[in-house]
Amino acid sequence: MSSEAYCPTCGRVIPFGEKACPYCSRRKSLGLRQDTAILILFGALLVLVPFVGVLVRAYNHQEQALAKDWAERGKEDLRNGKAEEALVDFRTSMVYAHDDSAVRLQYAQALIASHRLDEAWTYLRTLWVDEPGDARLNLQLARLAARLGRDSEAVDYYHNAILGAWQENPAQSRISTRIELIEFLLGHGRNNDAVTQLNDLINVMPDSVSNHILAANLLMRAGATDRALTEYRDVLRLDRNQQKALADAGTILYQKEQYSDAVGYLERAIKLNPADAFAKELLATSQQVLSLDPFDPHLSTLERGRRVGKVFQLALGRLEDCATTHQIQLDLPADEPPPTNVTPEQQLYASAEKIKPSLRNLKSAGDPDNTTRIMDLVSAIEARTARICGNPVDANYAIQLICRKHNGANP
Amino acid sequence: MTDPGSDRPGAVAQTEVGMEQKKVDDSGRAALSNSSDQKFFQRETNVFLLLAVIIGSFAGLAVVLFRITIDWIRISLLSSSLAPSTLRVILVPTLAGFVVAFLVIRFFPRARGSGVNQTKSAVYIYDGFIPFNTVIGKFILCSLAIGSGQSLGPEDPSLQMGAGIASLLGRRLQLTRERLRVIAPIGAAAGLAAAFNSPISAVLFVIEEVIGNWSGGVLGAIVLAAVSSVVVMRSFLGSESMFRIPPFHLVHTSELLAYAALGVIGGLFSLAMLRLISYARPRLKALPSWTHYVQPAAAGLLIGIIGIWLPQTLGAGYIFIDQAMRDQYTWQMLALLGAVKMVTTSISFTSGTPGGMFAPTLFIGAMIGGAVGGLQHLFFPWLTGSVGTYALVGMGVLFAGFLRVPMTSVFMVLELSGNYSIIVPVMVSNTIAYLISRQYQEVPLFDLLSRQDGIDLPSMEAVREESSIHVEDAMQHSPYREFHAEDWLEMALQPATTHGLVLVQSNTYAVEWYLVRSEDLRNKAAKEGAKIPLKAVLPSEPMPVVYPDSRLEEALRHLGTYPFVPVVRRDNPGELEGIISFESIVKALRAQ
Repeated sequence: MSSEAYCPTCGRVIPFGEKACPYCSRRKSLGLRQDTAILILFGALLVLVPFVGVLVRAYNHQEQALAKDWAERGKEDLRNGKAEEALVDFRTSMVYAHDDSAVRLQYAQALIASHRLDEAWTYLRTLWVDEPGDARLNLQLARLAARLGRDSEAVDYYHNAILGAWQENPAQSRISTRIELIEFLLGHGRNNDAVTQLNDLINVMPDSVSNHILAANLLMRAGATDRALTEYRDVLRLDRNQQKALADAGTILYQKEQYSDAVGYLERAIKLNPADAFAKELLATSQQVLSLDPFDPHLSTLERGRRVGKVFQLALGRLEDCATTHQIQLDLPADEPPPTNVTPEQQLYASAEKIKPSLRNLKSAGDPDNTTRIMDLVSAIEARTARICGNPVDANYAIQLICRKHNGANP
Repeated sequence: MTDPGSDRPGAVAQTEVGMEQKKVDDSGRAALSNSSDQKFFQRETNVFLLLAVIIGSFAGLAVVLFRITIDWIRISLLSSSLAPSTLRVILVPTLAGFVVAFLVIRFFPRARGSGVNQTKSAVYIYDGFIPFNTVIGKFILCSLAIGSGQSLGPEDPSLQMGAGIASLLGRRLQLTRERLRVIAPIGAAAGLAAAFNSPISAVLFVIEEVIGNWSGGVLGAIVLAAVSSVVVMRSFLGSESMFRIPPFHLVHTSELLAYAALGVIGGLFSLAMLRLISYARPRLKALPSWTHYVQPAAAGLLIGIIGIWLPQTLGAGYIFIDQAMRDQYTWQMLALLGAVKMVTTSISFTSGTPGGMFAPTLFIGAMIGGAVGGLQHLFFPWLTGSVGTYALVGMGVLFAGFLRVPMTSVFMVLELSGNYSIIVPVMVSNTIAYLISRQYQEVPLFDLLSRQDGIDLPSMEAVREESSIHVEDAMQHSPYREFHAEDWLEMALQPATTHGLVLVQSNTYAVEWYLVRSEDLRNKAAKEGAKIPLKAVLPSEPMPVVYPDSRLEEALRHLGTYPFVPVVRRDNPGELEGIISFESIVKALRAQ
């Protein structure tokens, strides 16, 4: 009786003459072969990966070198005015490094240089969709929009550029971009918007003489003289001997009819630069205004009366000179009844003649009511003579300024 | 073996115990055997999945090398410039054409063509066998052809190289025939995923065009291979998409009309290109054999001459697809590039130069799409879609119309754009292009190429669309009377005599159907009288049942044992819908 042997693993009959189950031993050997093969494959991968890595690195270096080379050629062509060639160069450079934003912007510049403004606009807009926060790209778009007359878009892109991400020197880049925006706004007569931007600019600019001067100049152009004066004062706080700041501050105060303060700044400015003719002229006028102004509240009644008299005489003298020069008859004919065709000059002269006696009494002339009445006549005379004989000079110009300051009227 | 003393009571008892013991032993061995088998198969499955990852890694490395080799050859031969000198543009593709033709004919005859239908042939005819020689040939020849400016792409060759690598590894690991057959598509997916940098599209393409169905057993391995190849590729070449995709949002639904127009134009272009290739390829192949040495060179010369004026049409053209998406061409230029590329690709491909059709398809689609987008901007400037978006959708349109892979075409655009809001325009355009192409060109591209080569591979389009017959299509009205188990036997005698049998329904525990023959009824009635319930004559086993939506295979499985199978409702198994038999199945199949 033959006893059949069963495989303890799979339960199958082990054929006569076989020591092990052929089925299981086959699996085992196959399993071993597979395990070894997989280990070998992993080993091969470990060898191949660094090999491919070396090749890829070499390839990347070659690409970078080509990208750089073509970008340099593009810049050179752009410098030499060969915009079309530069376009091809930059396009080729982008094939090897199409994420290089600097080259993409240079490509846009080449488009602009080749007067393909609409194409440049579309291209930059497409780039912008990918990188809306790229400050340089926004600045390019802003400049192009300004050039294409897309004013509101230009302002938006300037704002984006100011708020965007700068790769190099972000603080200074933002300041210069904001200055460019302010220049754009001033150029388009949007002074209020420019002043708003200037306020933001002043807040972020470092506390330096040049920055305050720059801000003050821009404020002056925007008509914000008060803010400009503050900036000049900041300049002088940092450097007392800034002649231009002194002269400009004096000018602002002169324009603001604050002649007393203006004199202080102007005197210091002239001391630092005696050749500053404009400051000298302003100083002289300011000093004349100060010496002739009868409305100075610190004057005594007598002094006011004296100044009123002097101002009146100067105004009357200019009227007489003007009439002589232009052969205008000032005296009224002694007709009865008085003639109807009286000229304004004759009327003013007659009024002056009527007032003249009252000026002999300085105390009476210094009376505030009289002063106002006399100065109104002076103002009218100056206005009339300016119309006939042109703008006054020297003391008469000072009188004109005094009248303007106190009447608010245009003499 | 009979025990001689088995007729003795004790012996009987002993024998029964012995039999019982043997049963226990057998069942134990069976259990052992089952457990061992399970472990073996589990182990093999694990090895297979691990192998998929290894295949993916190797395919990824191969594709990385392939891509940098193509670029290196292009820079070396044509120069790094986008517009190489006239002399180079004429000479390089021509001379490279001679070299390629010589190597193909003498050393790598299997490297000819795109690689997709060759991979299909390997799966369906050669049990997944792709000689490694083909992989080497494909690598060298396609690098040279594409790098020298032939209007072909690297994706399909990458697909075949991946399949070849997988085939080699499968053979070295002595996998079973079934595993070897499915390993080629796994490698194909890995190769395509790495070349295209889009794993989902690659997996879908392989399922849609190579395998033809969603097989759960292979799907996991395909996905693993595709993902691992993309990971390897990205770790070397970076994860950035091949194209910088513009953002998309559909502001007004009327814009869909423009996308529908794109679908029509793309469908017509696809059709034209299909016709061009189907006409020219067999005619060029039929020319005397010596001409095969010069055909790629002649193609290179023609492409070079065109390339003097339109250098964008040289090579795969990815750079220019990207430029089209960045709105760097006018619509007239885009239309011209699309049309010329169609001609150059047809010339390159039909000349027998090895290389893929994917990249040129994308190029043509992008250019046509961009041209339609440009025209739309010209005539309807208030519509918002950018030229880049139309170029992107156009790529999918040509994929659907020319390559006839509708699902891949949709997912490819989604994967490239990463924006699901584009799905509606993509579906509109792709469906129209696909339907136009399908209406006027019955055989899809890859099937056409196989047939021209004398191989009749199963059409994946036909497999996808074939209608399967279900039980409800083949069942017939039951001629047999139905009774309940509680009914008297005498009630069933007459009907059973008429039809030979009756159906009896029993509701004891669950609804069950029994087949009772008339002679059994008669015998029982003769023995015990007819006044007994039918349950006394029921056989031990109930009949199997099928449902109207069951597949025919389910019914066929039982038809050897039973003359017919009852068809019952799923929601009421006691209600007989009909029966299904061999005759009814044959009748239904003939009627289809």
